[in-house]
Amino acid sequence: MLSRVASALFWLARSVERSDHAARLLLVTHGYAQELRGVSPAAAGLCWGVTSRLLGAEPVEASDGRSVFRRLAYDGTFPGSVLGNLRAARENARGVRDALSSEMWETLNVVYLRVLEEAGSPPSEAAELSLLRRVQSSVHLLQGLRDHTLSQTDAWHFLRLGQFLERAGCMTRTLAASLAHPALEAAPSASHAMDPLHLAMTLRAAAAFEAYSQAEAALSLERVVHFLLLEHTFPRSVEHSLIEADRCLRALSGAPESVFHTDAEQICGRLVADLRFAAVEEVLQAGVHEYLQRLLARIWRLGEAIEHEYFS
Amino acid sequence: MQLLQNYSLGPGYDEMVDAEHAVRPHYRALAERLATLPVEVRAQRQRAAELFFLNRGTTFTVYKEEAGIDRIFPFDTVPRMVPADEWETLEAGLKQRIYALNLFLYDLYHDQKILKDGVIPVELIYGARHFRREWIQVPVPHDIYVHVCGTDLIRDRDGVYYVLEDNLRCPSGVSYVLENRLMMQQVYPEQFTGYDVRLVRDYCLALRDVLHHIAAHLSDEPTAVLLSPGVYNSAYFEHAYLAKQMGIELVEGRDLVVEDNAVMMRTTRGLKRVDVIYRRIDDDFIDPLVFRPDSMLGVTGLVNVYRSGNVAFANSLGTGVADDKAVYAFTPQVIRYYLSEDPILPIVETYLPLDERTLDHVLTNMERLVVKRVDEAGGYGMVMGPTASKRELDEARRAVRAEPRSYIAQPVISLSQHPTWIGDELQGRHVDLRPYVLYGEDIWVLPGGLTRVALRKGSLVVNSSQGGGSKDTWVLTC
Repeated sequence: MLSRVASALFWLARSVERSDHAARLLLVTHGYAQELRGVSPAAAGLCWGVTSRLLGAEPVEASDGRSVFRRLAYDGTFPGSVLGNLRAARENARGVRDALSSEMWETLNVVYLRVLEEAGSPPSEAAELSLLRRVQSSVHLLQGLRDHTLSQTDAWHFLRLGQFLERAGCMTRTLAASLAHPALEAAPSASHAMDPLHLAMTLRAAAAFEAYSQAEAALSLERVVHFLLLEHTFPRSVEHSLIEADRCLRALSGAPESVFHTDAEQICGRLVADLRFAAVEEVLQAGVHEYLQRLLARIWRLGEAIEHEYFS
Repeated sequence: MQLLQNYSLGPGYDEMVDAEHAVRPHYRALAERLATLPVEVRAQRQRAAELFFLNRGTTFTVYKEEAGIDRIFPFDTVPRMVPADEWETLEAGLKQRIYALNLFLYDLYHDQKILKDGVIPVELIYGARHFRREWIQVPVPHDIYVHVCGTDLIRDRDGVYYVLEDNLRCPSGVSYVLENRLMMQQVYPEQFTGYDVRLVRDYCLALRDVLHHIAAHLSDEPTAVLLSPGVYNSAYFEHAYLAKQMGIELVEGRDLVVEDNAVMMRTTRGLKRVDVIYRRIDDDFIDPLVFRPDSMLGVTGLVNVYRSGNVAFANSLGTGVADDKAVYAFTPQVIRYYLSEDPILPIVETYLPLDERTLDHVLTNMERLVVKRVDEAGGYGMVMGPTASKRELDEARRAVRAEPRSYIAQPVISLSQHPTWIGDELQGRHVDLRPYVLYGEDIWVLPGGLTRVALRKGSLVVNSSQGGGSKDTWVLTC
């Protein structure tokens, strides 16, 4: 397929995944900030700053959660917002409409137009929250349509590659931010109530709460890190995402398992192997923060290698 | 009938209502259904139709500040109907016309017999902006120059169809034919009851067959692409739509490169050869080496590959000479010259101000005439005598006197009118009809075509660039 088209599909999928991630993060933060007020008002005020940074915005005054929320959701001039990501996805889709199925294009187009419409209308908190849920379900519909209306050719692999690479990055960043969350420090007196609340929020931000609860009996830091990072059966874990990305890369180049043809496959294959044989105890002992930062840098390099191999 | 009680007939022919204010037989079932449609239901359907286009992205984009705003093209939901016998004549006339025009193009770019025989003045052809001298003696596959043609038809007071112009370069609008039909089937399904309407859906397959036909000598399974100027072009929706429906790659100039005298596209697996290009870029922009050096849209060296026969184009280069508005005046002679037949479809009386007498006639009668630049389309470069201001007329007179070859004048044709929803009532609005003709292994006419409607009261300009809309067109099987 055309390199220009492949690149547009890859970035389209990344923006779509990011918009889902941003929408969920906003909904979770909204709920968490509300809950925290009953535990520690000081801690509650810190939540929006963390979420802002995660979505790439300048840190803001924590006092006004509402305006931060609106900016992160509906400010089209801010590329990290839900609307900004949907716009980027749609702009890419517009240039490659013929490579998508009509159903996919229409789903993306409709959700973008609705969010755009909402962005301009007078704010109602309930409507804003429900629109974010609609963004999420549209993204899920879009990803389902991808798997059920497209043939499994290169276009499909590039769309999936973009999605899983983006997911690996988003999950790693979310986990890192959550473990270093200032609310944990701000509410030491209430820490007894705080820890499970915070871990549950971390899982929810990764859409992992229910799956985790089925797999584990109790909330513990070690098990949460394991689940989000290394649990290969969970479709949003970093390991699972990179395994999927690895599959896409090998499908594109035709390389069999355990062999690599391109730099991207080498980087990705190593990452997968490292995660596969990692143990959570070692990760925690060696310092989880440093581990996650190194992981992020490697995921970044993988993106660059894909760019170099296929799009330029 | 309540709905049409206050309906007023204009000076021209009315498609639905006859001079005695009776609904024409083929419109009766529809008119009854429209009359019983409650106002609130119609409003609901109107909204549904708008959403249909908006959601599917059947839109063009207006750029304001940084953000693009999507607009749907104006449309009307009262279908225009063409009875089977009328269509039969139109179809035959259109086939005759494209066949003759194609022989004409072949001749112009080869032996120029028609010029030697003095049927058309030589200077008219060599003075035409879209005549390509560099194209003389260059062979094109199967000697077909025009593969896709959109001919504009209008109806005068008497209901007779006239050819207003031929669009032989990159005619657009066919996607609206297909989308209007789909919208009508979804939003007004019950209006089809009792009508057998000819299909339009197979257009894209027919077009793909044409592309394969003209590249059959290059490959058993030719690779076809649609070359578009890109997302900022106002017809981009149509380009993406047609490429998708044909299952071919939609490419931009930057995706193509010429190597070893072949056209290649840059893919994720290296370069891939292209055999046939359905190009939606004008001649002038297609190859900076040959035409406009400032073109960012084309592909360097493309024309040379075409010249050597290693890639096929639809349409060919240089076809614009045959839809030059001055050459148009000679098309009846063209048909007689090549086919020894009388034209089935008449053209509008056209004055070429090339000699003193005609120039004089045009200048003195300008307030009764339409003056058009010969090399413009889309309603640009046009002065409507009866509605123009004194200043506009004076300006037009000066322009015609300065460059008589660049202008033609025609009597004002009133255009037929068609009932159209304006608010909650039906009012007559002027329409034309653009059928699409494909020329590959044989000549095929898409039943119906694009009915364009001038939504402003009294306006005779139907072009979408000038506020025109469109409506579904039904060719009936009986």
